[in-house]
Amino acid sequence: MSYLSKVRAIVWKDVRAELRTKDILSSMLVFAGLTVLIFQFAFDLRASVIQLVLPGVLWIAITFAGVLGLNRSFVLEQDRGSMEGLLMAPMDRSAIYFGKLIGNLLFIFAVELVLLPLMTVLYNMSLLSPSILLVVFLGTIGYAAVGTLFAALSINTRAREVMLPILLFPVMIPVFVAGVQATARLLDGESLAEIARWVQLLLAYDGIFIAAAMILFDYVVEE
Amino acid sequence: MTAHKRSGRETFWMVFTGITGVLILIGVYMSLIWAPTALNLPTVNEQLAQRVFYFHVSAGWVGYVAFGVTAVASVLYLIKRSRRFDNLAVSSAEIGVVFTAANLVSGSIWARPTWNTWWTWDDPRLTLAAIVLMVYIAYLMLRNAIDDPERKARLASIYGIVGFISVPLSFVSVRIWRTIHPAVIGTASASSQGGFDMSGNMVITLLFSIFTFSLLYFVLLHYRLCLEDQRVELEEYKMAVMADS
Amino acid sequence: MVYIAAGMLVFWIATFAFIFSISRRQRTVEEELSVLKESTES
Repeated sequence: MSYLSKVRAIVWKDVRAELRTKDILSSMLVFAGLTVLIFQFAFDLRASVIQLVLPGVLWIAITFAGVLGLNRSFVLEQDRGSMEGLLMAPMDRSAIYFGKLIGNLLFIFAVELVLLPLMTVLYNMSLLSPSILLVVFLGTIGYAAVGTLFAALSINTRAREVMLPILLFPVMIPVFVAGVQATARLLDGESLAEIARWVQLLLAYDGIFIAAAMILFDYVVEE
Repeated sequence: MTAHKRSGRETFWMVFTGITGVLILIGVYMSLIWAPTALNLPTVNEQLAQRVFYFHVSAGWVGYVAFGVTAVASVLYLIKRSRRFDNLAVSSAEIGVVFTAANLVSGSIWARPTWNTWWTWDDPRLTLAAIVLMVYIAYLMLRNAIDDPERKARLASIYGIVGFISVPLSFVSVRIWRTIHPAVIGTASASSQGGFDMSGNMVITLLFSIFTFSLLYFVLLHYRLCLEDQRVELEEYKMAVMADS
Repeated sequence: MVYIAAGMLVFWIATFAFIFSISRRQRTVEEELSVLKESTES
């Protein structure tokens, strides 16, 4: 099997499994929605304040829902013992990484597909401009790139899934800051060119960490 | 005990520690008394508090370097798989936590009389130090959550490397964040030295301070590594016992 | 004035707390080692 078809096989396996039960996807969606709701109560978001807080709420919702999805990508494998099967197959280990990464991305994108229109309606501010979508897209990739690697790391610990947010949050700060700032300024009416530095940062982050994770993933799963 | 077998090394470290102690005392004197007062600062309180700056910056600098050592040791471990590299990584990380935490607390103490607040998110360097501390702590928590030594070393190395790479990116993100928007506290830009002019003797004091803190780093590293060597000895003994029975 | 003293104190406390922590852990390891050695010799 070629590299790409192996990646595709892994993605397909996870997506099919999820489509059957829709467990994780629904938990992610509900969690994201609840996060938005809680922030409404936490800050009593009146019209004058919303514009300031909205980008933060959005990215927090993505972050928290993302953790649920990222954990799933390896927890099930470990519980079912199917990890050995995957590893025994003669393939470049990074194919497993990419398969898991793409699977995670699909799930987080699915959540964002619901979350962005929802927040647009709730707060009467359009989060659906191409520029904002681009920023969310790039940020999610960076987040998932590191998150997939760390998810594989954390299930090997005593604390299992609990370890993931602890490991992930300090390291994904550049994504978070860039995402929130770029989203905020786009909402303010700035153009894509004006937030170029944030986009460059996101691109750099994505590139660097996908490359690093590709190399390091081997070391995580070598048992 | 392994330490007593080589008294030459032990003596060296005792002397080294002693010298470091003396140099630190000299550094304290220089920072508190010898260094010129920052006369362009408005109040006496601020001028006095400014002297914390020498320790604060030194600790911060050594903290970052310690993290770098951890990252390099992590890479070396993954390549060579020698336990010594992992020992170095964790030892340097613990010391880095101590220095970075001291950096943050002293930064807070300096901030109070200078800006009338215990903390500010407007200074990129303070924010970055907080981020670095969190990555360090996550690294140590990860190690704590794994029992098997080989797995612990391997997985921690991975996190050490990724964590280290993320720091400059975090720095850039916080810098862009804080230089585009006007700082609430006007004097604290990332490149200025906290709003006071650095004269020649101040630079000397600072460099000397960094130097002594670096020596302190090596002293602490040595003793921390001794602890790790002992742990290895204990582990090997345990394994030998289990193999016999 | 208090601040400069506090600022310096932080470093002394941090350093000595760390050294203390090392020596305490060292004692634990030494104890465990000697207990083990005694039990295998008997």
